[in-house]
Amino acid sequence: MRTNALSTLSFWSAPRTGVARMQADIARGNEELVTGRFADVGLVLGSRAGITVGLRQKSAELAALRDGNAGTALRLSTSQAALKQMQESADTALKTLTGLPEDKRAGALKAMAANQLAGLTGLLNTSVDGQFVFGGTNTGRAPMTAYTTSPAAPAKAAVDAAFLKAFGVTQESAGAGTITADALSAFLDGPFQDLFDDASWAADWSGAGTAPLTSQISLTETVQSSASANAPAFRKLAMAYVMASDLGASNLSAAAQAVLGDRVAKGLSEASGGLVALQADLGRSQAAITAANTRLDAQKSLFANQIGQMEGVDTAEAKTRVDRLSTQVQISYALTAQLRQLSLVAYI
Amino acid sequence: MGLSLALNSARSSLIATSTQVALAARNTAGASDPFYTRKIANLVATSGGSAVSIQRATDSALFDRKLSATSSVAASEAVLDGLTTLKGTIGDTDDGTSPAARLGALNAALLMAANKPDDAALARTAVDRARDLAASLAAGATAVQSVRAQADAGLADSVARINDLLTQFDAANRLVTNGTGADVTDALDDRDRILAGLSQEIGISTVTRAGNDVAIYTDSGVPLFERSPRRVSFTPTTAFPAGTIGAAVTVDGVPVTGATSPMPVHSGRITGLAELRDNVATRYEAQLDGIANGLIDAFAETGTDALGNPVRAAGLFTAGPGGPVPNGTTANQLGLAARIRVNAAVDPQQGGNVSLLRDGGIAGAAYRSNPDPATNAAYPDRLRALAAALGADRPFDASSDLGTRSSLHDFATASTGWLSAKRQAATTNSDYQSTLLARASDAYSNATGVNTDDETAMTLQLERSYTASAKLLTVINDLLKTLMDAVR
Repeated sequence: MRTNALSTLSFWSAPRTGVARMQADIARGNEELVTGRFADVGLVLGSRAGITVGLRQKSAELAALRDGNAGTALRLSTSQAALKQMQESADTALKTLTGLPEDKRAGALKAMAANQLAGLTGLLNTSVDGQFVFGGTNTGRAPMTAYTTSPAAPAKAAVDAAFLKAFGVTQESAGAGTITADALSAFLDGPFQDLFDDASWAADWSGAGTAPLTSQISLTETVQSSASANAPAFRKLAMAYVMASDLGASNLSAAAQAVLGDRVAKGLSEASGGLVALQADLGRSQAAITAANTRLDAQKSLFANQIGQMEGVDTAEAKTRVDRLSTQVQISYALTAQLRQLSLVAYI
Repeated sequence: MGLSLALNSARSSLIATSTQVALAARNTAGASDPFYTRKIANLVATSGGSAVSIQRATDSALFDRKLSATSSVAASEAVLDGLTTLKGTIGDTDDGTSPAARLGALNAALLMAANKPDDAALARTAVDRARDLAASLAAGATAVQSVRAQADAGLADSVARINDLLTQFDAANRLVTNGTGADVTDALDDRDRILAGLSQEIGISTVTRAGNDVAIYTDSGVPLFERSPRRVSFTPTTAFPAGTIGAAVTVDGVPVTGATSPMPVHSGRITGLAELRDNVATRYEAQLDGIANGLIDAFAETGTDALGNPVRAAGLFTAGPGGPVPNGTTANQLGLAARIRVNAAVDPQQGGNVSLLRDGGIAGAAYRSNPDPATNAAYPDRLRALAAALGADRPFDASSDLGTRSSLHDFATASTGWLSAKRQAATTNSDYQSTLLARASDAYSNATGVNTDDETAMTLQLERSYTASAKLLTVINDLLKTLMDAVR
C-alpha cells in the first residue's frame, strides 16, 4: 500500500484559499486607511462597542447644552443691556432731581418722568429670538402694558381712583393744592404704595410670570437666566416715575412737593440699587455660562479623544499591513502560475 | 508444458497490468473530487500468474475529525449569519441609527427644549427624535422576528435534507453490505459523501459493524440510521411575534433541540439555527422590549381620577390602543418594541400638538402638569423631569441577559455592546472552526486523495511491465513457431 505526502487536490487549493483570505484583509485594510477607523468597529471592540456609543450619547448631550448656552447668553446680554439702560435713566433722573432747588423739582421732573416711564415699559417689553426676556415664564406675551393710553390703562385708572378716594380731587385739579404734606405722606405710604404690591402689579401692570427663567448650562448646573418684570426693583422704579409724573406735582403745595420730591428721590435710588443687584445676578450667570462652555468644550474633546483611541487604527500600521498583504498575494499568484508547470505529464 | 505455462503467466500479467492502468486512469479522473478516495491495486500471486484485488485508501480517524469539524463550522456559521443580520439594526457605532444613539439624540433634544420651552421648533425636534427612536425599536423588533422566522425555515430545510440524505444512505449502505466480494469501493465513497453532507446539518457519530454495515447516531447518541433510516421531524412555525416558541426537531421521536431536550445535539446547522432562534434572537428581542417598556414608563404622565386617586397613563410613547398602563415594572413588556409609537396627540405629523410635550396632558387634560399653558409658555419643569427620567435607574427584565437595574441610556448602550460581543465571539469561533475544518480536510485529502504525478509515474512503470509481458509473448510465440517449424 502506498501513501501520499500530498494529494493533488490540496496541492492546488492551498494557494487559492490563502489568497481569498488575504484579499479580504486587503479590502479591510484599505477601508481602514481611508476612514482612519476600524473597518468593522463592533467586531473589533466587542462588548466595548457599547462604551463608544455611550460616549457619543454624552457628546450629543454636551453639544445640546453648548447650543442652548448660546441662546441663554444672548438672552442674558440683551437683559443686561436693557437693565443698564434703565439704571442709567434712573440715575439721570435722580441727578436732575438732586441738582434742582426743591420748589423747581416737581415741574422739571414731570415731563421727564413720563418719558422715562414709557421708556421703562418699552425696555421691559424687550424681546429677543421670539422671547420677551422680562416675561418670566410667560415669554409669549409682552409683560408690560403702557401707562398712558387712551382709553386709560388699568394702572392709570387705579392711580386716579386711589388719588380721588384719598383726597376727593383729581391730580390735575387746582384743589390738589390744599393737600397737606402729612396727608400726602400718608397717601404715598398707604394706598399709593399698595398699588404696586404683588397682586396689584400683576393685575394692573404686568402679565409676567414671577419665576425667572432658568437654564441648565452644564450637566450639573442650572442658573437663573432672566429677570422677571415683577422684580421689586422695576416696581420701585415705576412707582417713582408715576409719583413724579402723575400725582399733580405742579399743583401741590410747596411742602407737599418737598415730600413728593423726597419720596421720588428715595424710590429712584432704591430702584437703581435693585437694578445693580439684578445686573450682578445675571452677570454671575453669564460668568457661569462662560466657565461652563469652557468645561463643556474640554469634556467634548476628551470624549472625542477617547472615541478616537478606541475606534481609531494606526494608519502607519494599516499601510504596512496592506503592503505586506499585497506582496503576499503577488507571491501567491506567481506560485499558482508555477504550479501549472509542475506536472509530470509536461515532461514525458 | 513449460512454454504454455510461461504463455499463461505472460497473459495474466498483461491482464493484471492493464487492470492497474485502468485503476490509475480511474484515480486520475477522481483527482479533483474531494470525496474520491484513492483506489489501490493489490497484486496477488496466483498459481502460475498474478491477479489484482482493489482496496481503497482510508483513514477513519481523520474522516471522523473532518465530519465533526464540518458540523462545528455549520453550527457557528448559522449563528454568525443571524447575528450579522441583527447587526443591521445597530449599524456602525458612528451611524446614529441604533436605539442607543437615537435615545441619546432624544435626550439632547429634550435638554435643548427644556432650556427654551417656548420654542415650538425645539419641541417638534424632540418629538421627531422620539419618532425616530420608536421607528428604530420597531425596525429592530421586525429584524428579530425575521431572523427567527428564517432560522425556523432553515431548520425545516435542514430536516428535509437530513431525511433525504438518510434515504440515500440506506441505498448506498445496502449496496455495500450486499456486495461482499465485489468492488464496492465506489459505493463506500458514496456513503462517505452522504455522511459529510449529513454532518453539515447535524452532528453525527458513526459505528462500523460486521459486513461493513454503518450505523449513524447524533453526537448526543440518538440513532439516525440503524439498519434503516429513522424519522427526523419538525413542525415549522409560520410567524414569530414576541413570545412565540418554535417547535423542536425530533429524531425517532426524541427532541434533540430546545431547552427540554433530554439528548440535545451539540453541533451541525440545526444546533446553530436552534440557538439563534430560541436564545440569541429572543434575548435581543427582550432587550428591545425592555427599552420600549422603559421609554413608555419614563414618559408616563400622572394625574388624578374623579375620586382624587393618582392615576398613570402612557404619555409621549404609547403602545397604541389597549397598550399596558405603565406601572414601573417589566411585567407587561412582551412585544412592546414592535408596538411602541409616538402618541398621536403630540405628533404634528398626525395632527397633534407639540406643546403638550412641554405642558403634559398628552394622555388627556387631567394629566396636565403646566398650571396655565396660556401664560406659562416657558414652563420648563415637565421637560426637565422627562430628561431626568431618561437618566434615572429603572428595573429591567432578567431575560434580557443584561443587568436588571440601570438607566435607559446605560441599558441601551449595554445592549449594543452585548450584540457586538456576541458577534465578535461568533466570528472568532467561526474562524477557528473553519481553520480546523481546513486542516482536517487537508489531512484527510492527503491521506486518502489522489496525487496525479504519482499515478502518472505508476502508469509509466506499468507501461514497462506491459511491454515486458508483451515481449515475452512474442518470444514464446517465436519459440513455439521454431518448435512447430522443426516438427514440420
